[in-house]
Amino acid sequence: MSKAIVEIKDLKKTFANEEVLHSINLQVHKGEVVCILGPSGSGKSTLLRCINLLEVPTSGEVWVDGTQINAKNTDINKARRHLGMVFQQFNLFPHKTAQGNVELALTKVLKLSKDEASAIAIEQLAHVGLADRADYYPSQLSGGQQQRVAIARALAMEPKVMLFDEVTSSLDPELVRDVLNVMRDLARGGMTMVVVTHEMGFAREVADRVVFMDEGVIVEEGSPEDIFEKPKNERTKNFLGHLIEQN
Amino acid sequence: MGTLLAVATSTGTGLSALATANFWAQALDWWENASFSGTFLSPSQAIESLPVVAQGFPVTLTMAFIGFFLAIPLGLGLAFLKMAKFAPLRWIATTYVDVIRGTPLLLQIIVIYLGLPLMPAFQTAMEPFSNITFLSLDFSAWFRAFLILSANSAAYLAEIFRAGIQSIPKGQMEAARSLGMKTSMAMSVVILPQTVRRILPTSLSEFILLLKDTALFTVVSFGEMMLYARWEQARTFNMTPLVLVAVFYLLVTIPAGRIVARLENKLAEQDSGTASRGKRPPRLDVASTHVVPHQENVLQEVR
Repeated sequence: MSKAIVEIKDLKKTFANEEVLHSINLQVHKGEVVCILGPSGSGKSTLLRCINLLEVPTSGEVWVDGTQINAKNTDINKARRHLGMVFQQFNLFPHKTAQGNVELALTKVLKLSKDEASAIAIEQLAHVGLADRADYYPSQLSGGQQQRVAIARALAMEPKVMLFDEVTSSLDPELVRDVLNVMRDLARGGMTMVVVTHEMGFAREVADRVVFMDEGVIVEEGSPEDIFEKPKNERTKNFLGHLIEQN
Repeated sequence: MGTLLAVATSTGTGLSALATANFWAQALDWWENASFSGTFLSPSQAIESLPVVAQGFPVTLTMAFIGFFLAIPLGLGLAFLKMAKFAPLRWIATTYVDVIRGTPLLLQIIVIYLGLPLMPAFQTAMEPFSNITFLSLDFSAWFRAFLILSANSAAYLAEIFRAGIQSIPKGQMEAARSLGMKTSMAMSVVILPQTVRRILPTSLSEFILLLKDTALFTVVSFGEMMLYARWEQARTFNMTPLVLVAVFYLLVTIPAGRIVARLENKLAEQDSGTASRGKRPPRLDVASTHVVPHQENVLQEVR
């Protein structure tokens, strides 16, 4: 196994005296796709947000590519450039076009020239199949298109790890497929990905490893086959059972 | 026969024109002498007072525009203080806003405008600029007027700005930060540009209020439009100059009010995603929001 690019050691997170993450340990290796599953409120989104410090861990260590990002002397703004994040609510900048959304951090954070940024933006939008929507504002795009712009925006920074936080949860079912296609291509291209998702089909097909969380702990982790075919833990069985019933 | 008719007709026209002119002259005479119209709407008085009142118009505009212009950074600063993590900063801003908004502007004008010159330190500070005058008012007078107006308007703007900034969804800041932006950069390139659009109508309403409030400077004999009108009224014992000054205020406030309404509509449209601002691409139709097969081909070709 190659060395871990993301390493979480004994991570705890407390919100208003309530511990929502209890001593989490997790490693993600270079090129690996890790899907985190679990019921709502299990702490999976909080865990993901701890990786790029949108939530500050109460204790424990988060290492990304050899840097402890929750150490006091770490420049978090620099560290975040290596961590692309895609959100459930897209969070595109509504005052910028699709292209403007992708360009903004390139010119402001990486200080690229307008021409360089625009070339990268056009290339990244083409990657997600939206070259013809470069001049559209987010309000003129469908949810699926907005989410793909958000993916392009994160990819343009050439991150080492991509974090996906329930990125298809607020999409109409018929728009989910496009977004998952983009993510599937990304995984095949060798991107390291941590994906919080409810898309069991996607997890089963694309994930190298599936992590099942419940009530702030990692209950079980293993290959998709292990987790989906022969889950060991009762809670995992229950959760997957419910999903199968629903479908 | 034909010539005779023509002469008769032209004579008739001449007579009727004369009669019409006479009618209007009489009507005007009646209007000037009637009790209500003669007191409030006298045309001769309006013509006489127009140059005097008009003299104050640029003064009023300068007060409002520069006062408001200075209030914007002040208000923004106060808004940030109100949102500061460090509690004492919030207390300072809150106290300031409470005091300014909780007391009459008239009181603030009298205290500051008449109070500052009583301080020797202020006199000394103004000394180097004593030969600067603008629109017949000296530097010290302008300085105090701008100070009062901007300090007052800033307190109101601070609340508008704070509410505007806080109305931007949290996800915007998170998205900006996750792209590696510092908080200050995220604020200036992501949050504030969106805030500006949202607060523009309310801020412009604030400007209209400020413009009207400049009239209060009459009480300290600051030579703005209202003061000139009052002088004319006192000199002539006629109210027409004050009606005239009202027209001058309306000249600015009505168009500005229309702009506010238009901005509000535009904003409502943009928020519902149906606006087309400038050269924007056409709106999406329902069909194109769905998955179009050729888009997947584009993806596959590039990969």
